[in-house]
Amino acid sequence: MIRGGRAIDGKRVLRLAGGLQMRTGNLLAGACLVAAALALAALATGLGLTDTGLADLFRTLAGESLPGAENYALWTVRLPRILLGFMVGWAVALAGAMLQSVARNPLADPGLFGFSQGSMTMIMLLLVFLPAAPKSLVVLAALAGGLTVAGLLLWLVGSERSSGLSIVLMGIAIETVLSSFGSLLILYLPTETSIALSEWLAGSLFQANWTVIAAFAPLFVLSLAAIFVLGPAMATYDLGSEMAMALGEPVGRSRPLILLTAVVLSSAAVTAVGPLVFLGVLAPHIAGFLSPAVARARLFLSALMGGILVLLADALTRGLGGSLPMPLGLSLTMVGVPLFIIALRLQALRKLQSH
Amino acid sequence: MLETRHVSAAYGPLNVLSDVSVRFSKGRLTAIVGPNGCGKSSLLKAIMGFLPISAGDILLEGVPLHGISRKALARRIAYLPQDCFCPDYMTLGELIELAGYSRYSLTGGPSAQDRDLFKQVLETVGLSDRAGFPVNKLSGGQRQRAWIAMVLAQDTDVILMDEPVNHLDMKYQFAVLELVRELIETHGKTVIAVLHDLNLTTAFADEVVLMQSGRCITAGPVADTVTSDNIEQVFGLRTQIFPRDGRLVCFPERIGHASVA
Amino acid sequence: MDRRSLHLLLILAMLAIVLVVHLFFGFHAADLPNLIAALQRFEAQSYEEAVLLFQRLPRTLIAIYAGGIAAASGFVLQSLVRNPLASPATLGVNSGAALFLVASALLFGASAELQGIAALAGALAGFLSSLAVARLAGRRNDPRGLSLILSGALVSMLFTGMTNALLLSDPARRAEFLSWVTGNINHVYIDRLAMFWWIGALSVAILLLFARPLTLILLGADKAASTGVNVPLVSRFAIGAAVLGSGSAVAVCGPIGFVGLVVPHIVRPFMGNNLVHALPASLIVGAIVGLAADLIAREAFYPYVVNTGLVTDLIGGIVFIVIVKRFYLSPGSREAS
Repeated sequence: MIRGGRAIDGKRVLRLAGGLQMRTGNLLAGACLVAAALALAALATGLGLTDTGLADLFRTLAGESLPGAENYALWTVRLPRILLGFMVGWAVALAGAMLQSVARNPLADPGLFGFSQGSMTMIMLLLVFLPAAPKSLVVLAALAGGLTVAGLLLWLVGSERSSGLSIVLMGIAIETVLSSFGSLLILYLPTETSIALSEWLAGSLFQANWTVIAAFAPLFVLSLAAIFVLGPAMATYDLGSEMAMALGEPVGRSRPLILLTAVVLSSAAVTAVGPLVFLGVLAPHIAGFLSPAVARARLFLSALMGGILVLLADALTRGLGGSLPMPLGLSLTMVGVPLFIIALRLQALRKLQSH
Repeated sequence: MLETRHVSAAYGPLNVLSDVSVRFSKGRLTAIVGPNGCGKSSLLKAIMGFLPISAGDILLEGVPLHGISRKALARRIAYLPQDCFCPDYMTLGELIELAGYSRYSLTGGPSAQDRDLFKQVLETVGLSDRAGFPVNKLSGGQRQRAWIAMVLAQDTDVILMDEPVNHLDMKYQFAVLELVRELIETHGKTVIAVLHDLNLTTAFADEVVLMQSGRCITAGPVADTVTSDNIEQVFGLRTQIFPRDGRLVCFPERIGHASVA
Repeated sequence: MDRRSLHLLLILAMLAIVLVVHLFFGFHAADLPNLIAALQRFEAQSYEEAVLLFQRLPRTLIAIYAGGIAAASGFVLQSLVRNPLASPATLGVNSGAALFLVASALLFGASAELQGIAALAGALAGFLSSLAVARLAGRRNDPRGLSLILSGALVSMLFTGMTNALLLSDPARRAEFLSWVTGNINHVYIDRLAMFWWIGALSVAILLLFARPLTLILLGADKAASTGVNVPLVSRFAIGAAVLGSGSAVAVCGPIGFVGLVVPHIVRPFMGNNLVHALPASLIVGAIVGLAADLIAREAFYPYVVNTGLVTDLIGGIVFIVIVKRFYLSPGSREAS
């Protein structure tokens, strides 16, 4: 039974039988973001050189068949890009939101911890020695790379007693060393391989196909479970690891689990699309600006925002008609940074007003 | 009640606690006092398990705290650290709700009793009308009371506080400590607080644990422990202790420049 | 002679030694007299002499320039920003300069001089972006300025990513810049050095001029203000000079990272925080480190020649870890998290 009510701070909530309460403000924001995502996706089906779109999509679903070019454009190129793009943005933003709670700093990005760098280095090494490696091996390599960095980090600073920020600093250090190693590879490999690696480094949905989506989908479902299970703990982490422990959170056990989840999410995203720098900071920040939330709601809204930002960036890339080859990373920056600046400014204004 | 037996602890090569054996009485305010670096905060941290102990035991009602889970500990002892940090977006109400974290199940949240408790707690600290405010927008005194409210809302028998009144104006120092007294007298809590100010200690505490260089020099009722000799030994300061209006006043004598080494 | 002057003399001697090694390493001992004579005449009559004059010497000069400027800049940044991890590499200065230079070349076809100006603009842009992003984290619970480092790292990653994307858009010129972008001390860039050296010299002159007021500011802004120092003006001028100086070094040989991070930490235990002594020392030690790194890059992987920037990045990353462990993770500096 769902009942309406008010939380102690006066905000409206919906209450379930077991006591679970959800702030209606957040529910509303979530609904709006979901609607925005769907709208963007619908719009994106129509973007590109071939003349096809939402209408054709419904027609195929109803059983009709499309002429070859439209079918190809819609089902082989656009839909996979849209779906994968959303899921990847979701994953990176979710990882970022989790890391920000653990590090207690809104600038904690999965890229900063070196997980992406670890995944990238492993993938690069793999592609150098086994250029024809199957996709599954690439995925494993990415995961192995990310996990190695996570393991290294935990070993260097991971005891229950270290501060979240020291973990981030170590991550930056590791990231720097690994990235110089990556530069080495790019510099000294034969040009074709080097360009291929660089292109992948720039981020691209070019490789989006249904196989990749099928591989990513279970992760997406897992991430939903992670939001549900790890969400409440995030609120305690926001108060610092000592306070979290004081409130009853087994930090020694749950922090590695959270880091692991963030690693898996960001490694998967890196494998599929390449590194998406700054998204992990951008999405939670903008989501938090739209609707300040805690715990599960914060994770969910951040993830939604991440998916939306990637959809926007991809729309930009394809909407410009392919005249400029724009990698996803670049268009994400072009979409995200103005939004970021706007959010920063509006926040500053808000702060001034309330003083 | 809460007892430490021969507890020693170290930060790497630095010994912070050496053979500390103290019994904290139930239903009392025990102040832990001593010069900087004497191990006051470390003692609290050791009790909470934030500082691993190299020797000794810590017992609550005769049961060792050693293997107890975080959740179980959070239901018995609440902890207020010296520096409290709260994200900008968290409201007072959300903070209070977090206090019940150890009681909530994964699919649950605050029960009706919890909510009543939270409302009561807010009334006790006098912040009922501020529940919708972001915590960081409250004034210094209000913020400290907010954190005390949270610690109260954890509904534990024992509350540990690390320098709860340090940065507050005098008026708020008294307000907070009077609140703490009310917790003890009306609600029967056991409070252990690290305090910096001797006069606040003598005004409000029932018992005192005097520490120096990681050791417990003496422990017991205020009148027995706060003596001129003890203060001189621990703080290096000659004081006169005399009663006034039913409590002890600590009156330092003047130090000459030359005797500050 | 007091201790500090003794130290200065010592490191000057070290610089002389490293310089000589850098110039002459790899030549046969028998050739040395001829080579030295060739240097004095500034005229090559044999293959070895040509190598010395037109490959080695330019490299030496560039290494000294890049290393010295980066180190001086790093020292000033660390002092003014009050953060042991501050440096041109960690605050987005290098990556900003690189991005703007590459963008100017690839998008606007800029000449080498214009590229240099673009690099200077980029250096400033990178630094200001780091500051802007850091403001997001707020000042309150950040007593040791970690957010600035985080934001610097983010901005650097962003700018480097954009540089990478730009290079991809022009495969023909990508090869031209790819080596430079990872920091390449190469004799071909000597003409760039000739164009931009005066910027670095100017910036160092400004910093040396301001050494005393800067030291006062370091000891406490209020105290400095009470002695008549215009704190905001001097700080901004000095940071601007440091940033632009680093930008000019990037314009010459690409971003050489971490010399600016490491050298101040080497210099400080010996020279203290007084910039009057520490700044010249940083310049000299920076030159030494630059030469040493370049030497390693050149000779350690014989017959391959590795980019100096990669060597400094790798070593720098490890030093970064050590600094983090020492400043942020030691029991004494533990924060209540």
